[in-house]
Amino acid sequence: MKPSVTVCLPSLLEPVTGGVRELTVCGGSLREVFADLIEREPRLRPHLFNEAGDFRRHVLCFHNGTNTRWLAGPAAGDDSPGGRTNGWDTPVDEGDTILFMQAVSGG
Amino acid sequence: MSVRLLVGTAKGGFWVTSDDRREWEVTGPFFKGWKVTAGLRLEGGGFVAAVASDIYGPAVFLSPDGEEWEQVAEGPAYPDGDDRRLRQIWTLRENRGTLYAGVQDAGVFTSGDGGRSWRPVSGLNEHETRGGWMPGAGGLCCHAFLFDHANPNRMWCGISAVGVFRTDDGGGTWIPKNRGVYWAHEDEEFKEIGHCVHGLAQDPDDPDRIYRQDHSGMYRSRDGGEVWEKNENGLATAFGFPIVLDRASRHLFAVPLEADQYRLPIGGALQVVRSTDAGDSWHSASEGLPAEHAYGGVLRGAMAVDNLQPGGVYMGTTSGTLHVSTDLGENWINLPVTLPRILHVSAWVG
Repeated sequence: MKPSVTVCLPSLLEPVTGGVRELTVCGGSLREVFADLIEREPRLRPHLFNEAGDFRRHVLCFHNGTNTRWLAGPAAGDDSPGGRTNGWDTPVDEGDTILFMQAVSGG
Repeated sequence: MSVRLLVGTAKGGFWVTSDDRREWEVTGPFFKGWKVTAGLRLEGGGFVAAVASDIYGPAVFLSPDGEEWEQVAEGPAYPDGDDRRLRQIWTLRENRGTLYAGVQDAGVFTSGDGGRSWRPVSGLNEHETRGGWMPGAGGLCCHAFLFDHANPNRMWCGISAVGVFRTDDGGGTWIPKNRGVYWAHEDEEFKEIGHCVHGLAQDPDDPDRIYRQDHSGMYRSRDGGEVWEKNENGLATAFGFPIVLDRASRHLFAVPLEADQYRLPIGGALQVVRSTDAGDSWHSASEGLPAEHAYGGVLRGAMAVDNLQPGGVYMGTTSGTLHVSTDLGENWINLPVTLPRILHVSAWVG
């Protein structure tokens, strides 16, 4: 039985999910969690991920409060194509929280 | 007769409705926070809307009633690994049961199932001149379609900073049709492209009579785009974006802007120009529009007609103001709203 985690979505994505902001998905790693999320809500895929399978440029994802961009990997923080997936093999535990946000910058 | 406007803005969609074209009701926003870039009422009932977010990208939504919307699972998309990106859907049209989406990065997608699934039009999307397509200030986008209602195999599309293309074989092959139009930029190899079409309109009786608001001026073709001629008689400036045709009167409407490095209403006066003689001459039809301190332009998709008699003309500005004429531009009223930047206006009767 793989751990179940809670995924929280930003309000801007309510039209995509029919108003759902919080989902329970399963996976042993972040990569499996993301795959299960898209399996359950396939319409989220083009909004969270780009054609290379990486996060869209201004999509932020936090695992228990830690930006997944900074998780340990071959090149943490790498912005090259696919570079932001480096930490996606990080294990997850039962009850973990995955929070998606949009990067807010500028004025 | 009731009229329903879909007003797409940079921060959501609004319905603007009236039972008598005098009193207007505004509801919304829906898709709050999203750009609403195109809309379509299906011939068989229901609505299609294109939305986009700078963060979350574009999507197509369907609705049976304009109230409840559901995103389609298989929207237009370039293949994974492609160097093109689907950034925005600029226009939605329906012809003979097929839906057409013009998109940025420039391309065309069609749907044969009411918008639930989409497939690329490879004859255009992989066109031999593609390597010479360069984006204009608005991006590299396909934003206009025209159809030959007597010939299902014949249609036109307009791509900003590239030009007009025509197919005579149902979309298999597309030929650039820009002879007589000044270049926006000249490609070293492909001399038939590099023409910046801004808007297209078509005579409903003669599909070969096409009107073209181009970056380089106002044009008309009498032969399906084989040759274009300038028709700017009466225009103080021939730069602008939208051009629409009222089907009942055949009157043409456009919005002149101070070209092109400014893109502002001339002298701060929002103006509409009208041609009542198939483009032979143009005259101001601006009574009632803001005559001073108006610096919002009208984008290519933000002007529409309702084809009633007398015809209604509707337009929204980049400043969020919304303007209505119910007598073919003789008089305008300025609705008491300030919406976000207006990207799209559609008008439907009933």
